[in-house]
Amino acid sequence: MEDVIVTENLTKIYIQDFLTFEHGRPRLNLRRETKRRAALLDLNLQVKRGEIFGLLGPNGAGKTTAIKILMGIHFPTRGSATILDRPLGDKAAKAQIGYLPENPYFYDYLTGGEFLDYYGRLYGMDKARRRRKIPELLETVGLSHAASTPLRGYSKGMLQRVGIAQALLNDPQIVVLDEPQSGLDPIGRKEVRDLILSLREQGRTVFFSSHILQDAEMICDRVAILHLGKLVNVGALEQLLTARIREFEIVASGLPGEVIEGIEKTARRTLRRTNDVLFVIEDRAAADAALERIRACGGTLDSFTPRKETLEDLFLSHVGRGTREAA
Amino acid sequence: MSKVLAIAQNTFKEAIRNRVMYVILVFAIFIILSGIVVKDLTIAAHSQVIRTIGLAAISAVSIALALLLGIGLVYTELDKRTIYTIVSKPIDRWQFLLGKYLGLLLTLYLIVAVMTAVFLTESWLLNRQIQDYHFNAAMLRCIKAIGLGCLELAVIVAFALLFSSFSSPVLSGFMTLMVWIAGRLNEDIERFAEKLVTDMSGTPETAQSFLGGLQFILGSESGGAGDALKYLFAKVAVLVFPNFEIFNGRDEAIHFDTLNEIHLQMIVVNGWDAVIYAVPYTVAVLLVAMALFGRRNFR
Amino acid sequence: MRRRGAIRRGFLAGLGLFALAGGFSVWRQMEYVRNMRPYRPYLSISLFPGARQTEMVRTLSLGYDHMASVFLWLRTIQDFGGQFRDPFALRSLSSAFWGIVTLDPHFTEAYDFGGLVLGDEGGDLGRWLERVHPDGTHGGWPMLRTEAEAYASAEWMVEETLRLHEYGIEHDPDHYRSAYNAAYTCLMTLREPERAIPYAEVATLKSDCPDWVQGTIPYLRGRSGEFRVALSLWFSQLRDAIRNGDELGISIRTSKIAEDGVNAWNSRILTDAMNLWAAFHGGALPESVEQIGRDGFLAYSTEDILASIAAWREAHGTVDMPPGLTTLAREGFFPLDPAHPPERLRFFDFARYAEDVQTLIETATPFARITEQELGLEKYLTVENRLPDCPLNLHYLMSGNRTGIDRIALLGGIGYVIDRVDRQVRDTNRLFEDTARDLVAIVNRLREHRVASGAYPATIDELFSPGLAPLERGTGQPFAYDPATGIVRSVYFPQPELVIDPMEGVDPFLMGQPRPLDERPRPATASPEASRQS
Repeated sequence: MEDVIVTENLTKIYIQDFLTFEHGRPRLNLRRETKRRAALLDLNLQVKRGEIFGLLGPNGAGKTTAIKILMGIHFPTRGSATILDRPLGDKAAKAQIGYLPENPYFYDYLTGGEFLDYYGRLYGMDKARRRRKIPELLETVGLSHAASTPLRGYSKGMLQRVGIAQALLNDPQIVVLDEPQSGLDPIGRKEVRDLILSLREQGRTVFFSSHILQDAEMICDRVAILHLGKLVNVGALEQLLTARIREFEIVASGLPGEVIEGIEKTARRTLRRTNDVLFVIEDRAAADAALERIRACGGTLDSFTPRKETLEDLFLSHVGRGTREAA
Repeated sequence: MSKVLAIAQNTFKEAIRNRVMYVILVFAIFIILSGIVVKDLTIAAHSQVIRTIGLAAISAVSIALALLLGIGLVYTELDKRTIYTIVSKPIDRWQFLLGKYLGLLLTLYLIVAVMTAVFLTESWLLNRQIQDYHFNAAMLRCIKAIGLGCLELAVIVAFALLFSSFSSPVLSGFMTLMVWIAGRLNEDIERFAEKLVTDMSGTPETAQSFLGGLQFILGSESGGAGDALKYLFAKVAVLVFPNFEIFNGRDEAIHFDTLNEIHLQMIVVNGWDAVIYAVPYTVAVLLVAMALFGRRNFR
Repeated sequence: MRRRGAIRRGFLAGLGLFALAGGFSVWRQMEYVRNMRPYRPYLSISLFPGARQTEMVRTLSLGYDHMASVFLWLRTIQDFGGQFRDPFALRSLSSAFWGIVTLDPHFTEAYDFGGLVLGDEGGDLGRWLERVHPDGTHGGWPMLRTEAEAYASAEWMVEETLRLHEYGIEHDPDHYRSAYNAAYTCLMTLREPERAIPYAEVATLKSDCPDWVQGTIPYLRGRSGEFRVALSLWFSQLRDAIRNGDELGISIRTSKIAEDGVNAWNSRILTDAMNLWAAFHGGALPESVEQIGRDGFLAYSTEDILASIAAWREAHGTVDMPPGLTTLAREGFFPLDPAHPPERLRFFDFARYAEDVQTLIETATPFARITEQELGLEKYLTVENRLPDCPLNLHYLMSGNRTGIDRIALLGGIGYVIDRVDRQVRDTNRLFEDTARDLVAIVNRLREHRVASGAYPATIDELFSPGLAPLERGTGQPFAYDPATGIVRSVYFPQPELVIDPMEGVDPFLMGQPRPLDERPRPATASPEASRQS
């Protein structure tokens, strides 16, 4: 499968103001090292056609910076990238991309229809095509009723949806979404999730960034994890996450004190709550023994959950290591 | 080009849907129409007074609007991050700037046209009482003065765009205002520079050449360095800032009917000269704006 | 409960503080109202900067200087209308006028109205004298303490007016009104016709100056005692009026010529008499004109004039201008009789051409007009004005500010040059015509000489009896003469039209036989074209 987005040693170093504030305390950045802050360091990525690629990382990891460079909003300090085999800023490549920025905000004096029409003209779409495409898109994102409402009357979810609509105006081969689910309610998040999946079904490549790992885990084919501007891991989700069961979570109630203490010895972690107790046990035999003891003492087993390795675990392990390295 | 037009049209829409603009427009029309009352307050010079008020109101209000709308022109897009989606579209950054420029200029010209229509109608109605013999010629000169004002607007908006493309609205507003003031005072600054040299008993010929004046000031015994600095500053300011006196057709429109040919020729502005001056100047400023904007990282 | 009490206490304290502060303010305001002076709108205008700072305002107006001047203009009119009886208000208005004209030097109406407000209204000495009160204030109005202050104030107003008009002459050079208004102020308010002359002359140089302003110059010359200058100007204007067939102009100029003729004659007689009186009394001057008469030094008196006119009428009969006479004939009616002595000659001639000699004598009132200024009948010549150090002393005013007049002359310099060029062109045209006429006369005489004697003379002078050659009598220019061909050329005008062959068109068989007189070309009416055709 061909690569649609390739980056090579993509680096962005910001030159800071000579005066910055850290935790409310002023700090002078006079020396050469302190004046520079690397937001992205030697990013090498390949995104394949037709896949859903997730760019993950905590806030400030450099996800948005990477996307901005790819979209031509920022210029890289060094390194290069190609989109559809064309260099950055190429208009022919841009014509094949749909982009939704983080927390989008649009011209609030325009109505939804006018807004999409304007952006359609920026794509160079002719009038007939715009007239056909715009109602169709509004229908897709469920905004047909609000086509002639000014954007200032839109809710955050509606804005996000009209933003997605503008990103799909040109039937793009690549859809780039920056934090598409942030600030949305669970229903909105599900809708976005479904949308991304449907885009893949249409054969489009979806490149999105997120810090909400569960969503990413559900839909991503491949992910890249960024931390402090560096790529810490990249690959297919199934390769990154091992299928083995890492641990068992047992929640039980009505246990006498000595039983709890007994199980606690074998557990990695014990959490005493108001009505029940949570044990996390890594060893399978110890878990069986714990279940036996709970049953024997007449306690109630509320739940028993085998835990597989999640993206969150992976992420935390990388990020934790990154933080240590940084320290 | 159609993309530039799309941006221009959107900018136009943004301005037209801005309520502040209507308040200012109503205010301007109110000032222009105040000629009806003022006509009864003056003893003589009725048509002069009406023309003066009308032309000053049209010029001042259009420039105020240019400043007000121009300074936020690019900044709003940056601040609201709408620029992100624009830049990611298949257009060049200079197309975006050009579209913004044309859109605002179109808006301002529309406003000037509305004010001009009000002014001409008012003048025509009042002229039925005043019976100015030169009425038609006067109105033609007024339209010429307004046209020259439109050229001035083109330059000011270019500057507003330039400053707006790299600084905050307050700062760019201040800088544009300064450029406008320096432009309006351009000839005064030149006179000041010449005065520095002639005050030190230099000849006017010395004063008129830049290096000659500098040599003279540096070579003279008293006042040397300080005056040389002032001279340098003034001369550079004269060269760098636009000369908006070239677009001042109001002198001519107000006094053409009472001056004789020779003195009229001294204040008449050659419209083509003004166009030939304004167009390259605007293009140059826009090119600088585009160069600055083209390499910029958007926050 | 306790909390509610605290609130109530805080509220009461606030209320008390409010009452205290508010009460104090109202009380102070009442004090201000009680001490307030009467409404003086000019105070608002006096806040506007005067001419000296207006240049700054012009700079600050950033190209909207017209708007600023119109604003000031409207404000000035309102303030003038509000308080035009108060000379103090008028004085403060001067800064407003300076502001208007500095902002917009072409605001012609501002000079007009400024002259009216500052010169006519504010320069009214009576109005200032009304405002003299030893306390310095009266009835809440500011007052002058002494009459000298009133004189100084009135003079300042007039001088300010003249300064305003001079600014107008300099900065609004296309309009005659500033200069004319300055002349008007000098004459009517200051009563100084000498000072008005240069202004009036500058006014006449302006392109928009109406023709009637021309008449003010000889009038002012006459009023300042330069009767001979006035007369020559009236004469040239009368000639123009006759040429243009301007009946009203003719009647006005003849009556003016009569007045100034009488004045010129009388002033000459008076001067002679005074010189005689002074010589007789060892250089001392007479106390008054009447004393000269009383002492018998006046050679002529009014009675003498009347007697002379009566005698002249007896000899010539009543000569009124014949109504049916053409203007050309009237011009021909004008030559003077060289038999009379100069002064008497002129008087008689004016008297002769005046339409009504009786009216002339009644209106001329020779002695009163001559002595009007000398005897102190003018408005400003009160007893105080006779004091040498009083600023309104006539002599003080006349001797001062001569440089001002020179400056006016300078300001009008460009216009003067234009006028000189025009005049030179006119003079050259006239010289050309005269040369042609002289040439025609010479050629005719040459032709006669050739016909009579068969040859051309050796010099042109031979053609004329001594003292009558046109080259002396007429244009006074040299002619180049060729005795062989008989061709005479003008040295100044070498144009081929003026080169005439004396024998051109003459029948060679007629040589030696003089033609009848009637067929000869007439020198007085011949034009170059006419002589070429012949």
